[in-house]
Amino acid sequence: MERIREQIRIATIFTPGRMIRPVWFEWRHRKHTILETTYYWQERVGAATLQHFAVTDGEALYDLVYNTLDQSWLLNGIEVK
Amino acid sequence: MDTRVVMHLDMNSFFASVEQAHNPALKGKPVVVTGSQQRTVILTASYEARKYGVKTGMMLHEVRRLCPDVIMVPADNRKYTHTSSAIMKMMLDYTPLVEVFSIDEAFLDVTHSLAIFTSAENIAYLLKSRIKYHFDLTCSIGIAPNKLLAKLASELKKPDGLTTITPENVSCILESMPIKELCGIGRKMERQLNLLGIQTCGQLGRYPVDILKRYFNPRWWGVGPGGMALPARRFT
Repeated sequence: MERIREQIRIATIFTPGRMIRPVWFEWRHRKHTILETTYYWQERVGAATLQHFAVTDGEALYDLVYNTLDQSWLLNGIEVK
Repeated sequence: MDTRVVMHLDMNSFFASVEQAHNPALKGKPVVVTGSQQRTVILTASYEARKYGVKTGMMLHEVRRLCPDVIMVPADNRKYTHTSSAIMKMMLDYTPLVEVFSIDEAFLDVTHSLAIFTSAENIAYLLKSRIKYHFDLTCSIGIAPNKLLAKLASELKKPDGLTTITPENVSCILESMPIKELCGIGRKMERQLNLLGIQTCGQLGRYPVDILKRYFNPRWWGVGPGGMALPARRFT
């Protein structure tokens, strides 16, 4: 997986009691519509909880990370098929 | 024979399966998980890679020779730890007596849960289907009257197995089984037992205990190999 670590513009659905669902994100002036969240895991770094979402737009696999402390979204990495 | 009902749950090639669930492009392909990109030894191999003879602990050049199309994935421990703890918490829905044995193995004493869930097989099916649904992973489960036999049972059918050892079929299963299959009997102890003419679990069972006590550590008799004769410890 190629490390990117760039902040992104993203649309997500927050439903009470359910997992956050990323819908689309923009990266390098291109909009990627998320077809499937293939895996989810989280890690703690200091006071922050980082929620990882492995998502695919049908072309590549992206690791999106939501930082619950500063509520930012990061494109952590990309794996091209 | 013990009247407890113990389950042993063993995740099938855990690290490689998590990587395959995470990245659908890896599904059905021979995958090995390496310690890091610089390491030369593999931590685990998917069942597709095992078909080529690839095993845990092999050097990367050996793996490439056996399976030139193998896909190498660096380990992501946080991903595995999160998945493991979520699965362990899932087990607590069925019994408070969950003993974590390793990152991908646990014992569950379900003796007092049978009144609610009818049977241990029922609990096993519920766990298997929930793990498959939430994580797209498979596991092998062994059900037996104690931890030693439950672990043995889970080893009998892989991947995605469910094996029950009952007081009725235990002697039939153990009679011709090599002693090295028992958890806690390593190469050294196997050699010592072989010198006494013991090759199978059946022969071990018939051997006079007094003579065995003379040759082996009494601690081994008290707790069994790896504490296997003791009840499952509560998960904290």
